[in-house]
Amino acid sequence: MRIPLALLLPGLAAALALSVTLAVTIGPVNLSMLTVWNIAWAKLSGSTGMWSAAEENIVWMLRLPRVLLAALVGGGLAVVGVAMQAVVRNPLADPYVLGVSSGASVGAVLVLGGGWLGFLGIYAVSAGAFAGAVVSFVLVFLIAVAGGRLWPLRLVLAGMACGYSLSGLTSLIVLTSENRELARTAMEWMLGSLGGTAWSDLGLPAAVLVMGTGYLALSGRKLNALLVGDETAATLGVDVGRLRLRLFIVLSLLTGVMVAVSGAIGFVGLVIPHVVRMLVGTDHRRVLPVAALLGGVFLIWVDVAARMSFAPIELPVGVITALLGGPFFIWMLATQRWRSKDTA
Amino acid sequence: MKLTLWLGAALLSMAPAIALAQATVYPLTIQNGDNTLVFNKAPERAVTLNGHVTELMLSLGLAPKMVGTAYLNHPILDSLKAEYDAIPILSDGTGSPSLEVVLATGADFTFGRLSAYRDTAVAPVEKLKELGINAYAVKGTLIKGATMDDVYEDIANIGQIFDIQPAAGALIERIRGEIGAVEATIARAGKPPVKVLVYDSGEDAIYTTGKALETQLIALAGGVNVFADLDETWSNVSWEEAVARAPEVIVINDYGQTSAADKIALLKHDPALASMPAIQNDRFVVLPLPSAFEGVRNPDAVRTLAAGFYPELFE
Repeated sequence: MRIPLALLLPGLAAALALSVTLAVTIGPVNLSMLTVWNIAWAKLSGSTGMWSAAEENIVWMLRLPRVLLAALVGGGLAVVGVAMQAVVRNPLADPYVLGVSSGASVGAVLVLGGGWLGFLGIYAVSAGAFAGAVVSFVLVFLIAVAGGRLWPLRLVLAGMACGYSLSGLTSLIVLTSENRELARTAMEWMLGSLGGTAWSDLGLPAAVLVMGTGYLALSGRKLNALLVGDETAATLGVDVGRLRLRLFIVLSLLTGVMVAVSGAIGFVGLVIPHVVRMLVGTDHRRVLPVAALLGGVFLIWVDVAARMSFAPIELPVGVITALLGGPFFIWMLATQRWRSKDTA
Repeated sequence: MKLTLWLGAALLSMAPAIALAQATVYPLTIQNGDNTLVFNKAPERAVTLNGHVTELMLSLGLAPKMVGTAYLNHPILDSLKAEYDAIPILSDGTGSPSLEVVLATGADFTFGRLSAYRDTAVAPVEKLKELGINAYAVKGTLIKGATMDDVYEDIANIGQIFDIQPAAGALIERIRGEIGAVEATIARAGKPPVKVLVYDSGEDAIYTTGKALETQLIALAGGVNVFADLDETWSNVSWEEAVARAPEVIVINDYGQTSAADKIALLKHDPALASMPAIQNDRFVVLPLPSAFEGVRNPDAVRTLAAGFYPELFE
């Protein structure tokens, strides 16, 4: 079921634009499509119109930044997932395989439960999560590095070891906390949520994600070489040691930023890469751009489900990605012929 | 200039003392934990985010100013039902409404527990401020060791914010009076305080309360919480520690899916607890949890607890 890239890419780009336009019209508060688009158009063009301040706030301050963040994070997670599977040469890898989400969780619960970094106000949780992510990937790096090089298996094992230890630390903090609500708050955070996204939350992640994704997309040929094996890559003229180190830093940074703004949204980074490979094969020059677009579309709609399924109460988006991701993946496996040589 | 500043400061420092006596002068500044709220006029579109807060606002006669209520996880007091039913319900008893639902009401004021002001609930108070909403949090949820004075402070603050000081003063006096009557009865009997264990939930360990309002409600009812020395507001403690502290009465917090009868049965059938005086003498008090939340039901809690501690005094 290969679809020509010349059709698929413009098609997905159109689907992404359409998804953004439609997703902002959907929410627990019933606003007509026309009102929503009028408000968005008025804000973009600087004109005014006949609607209440509440309606304007809902569309412009709440829904639109949130939908855009969903597109960014969804695309970012999918791209990082693709690259991570190549770097550690393991089809089960996802963006969190190196323990970044566990480190971020420790930082987040220290802020949520212990009031750390309180002076940062509403940015405290993001800052704590990012700091935790940095600590964990430095730890993983120090454990995994041997003879000045990073080895795929050592990376995965170091990531798992750090992940377990840091998860234990998170549980310890949550269970010994005086805060009656912390267990629930921490769980919601760890599942990942796009709630409360403001325009000011978009700038930095957008810049980092666009640059990081761009870098990865341009490394497609080298990622292909990595997937085949270090020796083959070396004979193709790739400096494997330096490449893996550079990719490790870029992937850690990207994951850290995404976890900081939206928590650890699961399954997107594991499932989308495989779905994309089923559609376009394993060449990273094709897989990466398609994954970026498909991941964005996917997370936008999953977030709509998170907002609407129990409206007016919101679910963390990670609940829905997990609920949908598993069965969807099984369906893909069942209907597509699984080409093990393509994904090994 | 200096004199005006000084006068302003002096007036500000006197504010709590005169709050109940005088009409509010806007702009009004209210300190709520770390959050400073400035009111240029009395709010006209208030949203309450928890059941006990809703009951408090309705008891102050603020129904005409309320445009939404949320997260009522127990039946509303009968006396407030008619007014409650006339106000839109933004979310049921299972959780907080999302921010856009609150915004759609055109709210200019929200009142709820700290937990309502999480990113995953409604929104942090700073965010609401950016959207033009003054968000007030229940003081008892911001501090450790809450007492009835903190409840009275919330009521007095709401009185000032809405410029209804007489109603606020009357409500405080009513609550104070009802609790005072129970205290007086116990004081006359002159008995030593009863040692009380609070059982909220838990099987591997006991989830109980330390530095929270319930501990003071127990004290007002003539008891002493055996875990009053906990540093935390709520925490897990071990069964053996509970046994060692030999409580004479066990207070069962009654809420949610597990019935009080099931909780009592669990405690009674645990052989490890058989030596506890409360178990040996079959002394349990079932406390409906809503009455332990900061609000108009607190006198009910004190009466229920006192009647359980001293049945002979409260026939």
